Amino acid sequence: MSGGEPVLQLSEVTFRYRLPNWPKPWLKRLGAGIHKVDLEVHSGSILGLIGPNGAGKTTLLHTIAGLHRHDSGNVRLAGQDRKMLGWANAQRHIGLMPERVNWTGSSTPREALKRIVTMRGEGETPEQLLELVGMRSRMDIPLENMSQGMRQRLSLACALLGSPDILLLDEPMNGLDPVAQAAFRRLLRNLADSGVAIIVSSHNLQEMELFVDSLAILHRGQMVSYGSLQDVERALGCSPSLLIAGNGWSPPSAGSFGAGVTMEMCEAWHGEEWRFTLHRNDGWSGDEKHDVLQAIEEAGGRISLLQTVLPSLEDLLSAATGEAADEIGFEIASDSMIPVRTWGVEEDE
Amino acid sequence: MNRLAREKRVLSLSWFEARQHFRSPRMLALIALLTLFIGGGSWGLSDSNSTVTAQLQMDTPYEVLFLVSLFVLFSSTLGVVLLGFDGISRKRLTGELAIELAQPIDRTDLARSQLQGLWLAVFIPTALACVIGIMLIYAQMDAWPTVGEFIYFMIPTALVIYWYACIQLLASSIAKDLGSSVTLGVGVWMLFTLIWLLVTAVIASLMGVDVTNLESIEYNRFSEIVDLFSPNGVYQLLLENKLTGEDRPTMGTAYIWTAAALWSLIPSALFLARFKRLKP
Repeated sequence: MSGGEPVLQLSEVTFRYRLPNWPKPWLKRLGAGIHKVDLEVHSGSILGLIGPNGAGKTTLLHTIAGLHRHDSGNVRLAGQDRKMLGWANAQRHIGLMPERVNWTGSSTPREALKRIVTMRGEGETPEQLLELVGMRSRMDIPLENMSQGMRQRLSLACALLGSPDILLLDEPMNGLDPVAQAAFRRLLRNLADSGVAIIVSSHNLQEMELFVDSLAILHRGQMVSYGSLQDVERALGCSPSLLIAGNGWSPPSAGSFGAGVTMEMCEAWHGEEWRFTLHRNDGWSGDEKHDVLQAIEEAGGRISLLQTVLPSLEDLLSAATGEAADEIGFEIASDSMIPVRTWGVEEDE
Repeated sequence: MNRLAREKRVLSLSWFEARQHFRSPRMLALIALLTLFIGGGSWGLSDSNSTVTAQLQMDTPYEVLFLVSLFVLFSSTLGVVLLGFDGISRKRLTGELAIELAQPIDRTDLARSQLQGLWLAVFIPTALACVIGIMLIYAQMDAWPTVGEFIYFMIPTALVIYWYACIQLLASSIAKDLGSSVTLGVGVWMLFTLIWLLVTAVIASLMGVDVTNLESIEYNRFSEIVDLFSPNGVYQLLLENKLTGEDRPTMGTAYIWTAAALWSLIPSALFLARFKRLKP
């Protein structure tokens, strides 16, 4: 991956939940989890972690954050084994923003943050961080009166305490309006530019594409693909398509746009005479896009829309697992883990 | 971080926790309970015209305090249930627990701060209610309990609140949702506060002790032994131990204080162990 030094390295990290095994609850059953995950995150980079519900995104983030002790494999923080660093030292490297923290109670964001500062045993002032996440005017309102967006910001402020090297954000855009999302993305980019390694989980690939440097796809607890967006698309054979719409011309066959191009006609929207998508296995470079536009315009077409359409998460997962796209994500991965690649069946501990 | 700094941090966090409890609407319910039970009990029982039962003596302020302990037992332990039944489960459900567990603080310290915070939140108003109680006793009887008697009364009171705080937080850490939190919290309280007499009678009957006469010496001795397995029972035995004459327990003081020590150690050790393995 691009960026500076690797601040986080995971090699074959496995963690599985223990479930009661009725009618013998003392014999725990191994449930869902993450399996042999390899990952490397560099300082100053943003890694997007995507996968459908139940893929193991939160479990992976919690394992990195030390909330779950991994069963096997190795976690290295700033080049050192996590176990050798000691609990408190390891935790100081990491900031975790859990998914949708529903802050409640009559205390205020300032007090909530002060409490976390006391837990960390640091002399940081909460006011600066609250200002950074845009809560300067909301420092002293009761937590129970905050909107979901404000709660997300407070959770982010907690994660930023102590200036961690690694920031783990679990579905951070949930509950944020588009303007706040854009501000959030700018903030993440600024943090990355200052050397923080960031892992952001989401199930929305389109949202990720806007700000991540690399992508990791998780499915049924296993890493199915990992690299830059282009690398992942290339590796899985899922390149972006071109969506084109306009008037004043009849679209010819796909062959007229060059070899290896496939065309799919779509229903035209109001005010359009035609709308179609073009697909190439290698994707579309700037020059190739230009050639397509030129060909249409020379033939008398007036283009009203040209859009690069990324492959959907379902397409990527379908390509990675070989399962049909319409079956992906229908059944949430349960404790009976079905192997994607090499994982075995359930076993008793 | 050295030991002193760690203890200071635990105390600060405990105070944060206690302050949150003080501000919660549930505290209003607790204050109402304490005022009615401890205040009302102290006033009513110290009235020279009141008669409770022929066996209970109320000649001295300590004897009145001993009877008031029944109200303390009912209201303060219920207060611990009110404030603590969702102490861990609520944070787990809201996601705050994940943030707390991700911080660079030893989990034992974090668990202790939760425990001490809950204990402080109930003990402080209970102690205030008891101070008001002895003032009311003075108003009725024109006599104060000695400082030694009052301190002796407050030590078991502090302990029983601590035992219930441990039990409630342990139950709350086991519960995965609010429903099971309420069930476990109230269930444990009901077992020791309301059902224990029945439990004692059933066990006595199974062990061949005569249960037709609950005033018999044999049954009393047996119930004292069974009471060692209940926090309420140990609390009562500790306070009875300061009484004189026939009201004193028949078993030795060492047994009672050993039981008190075990009640202080075992539930808290179980809670700390559970908290160390806690998953958000």
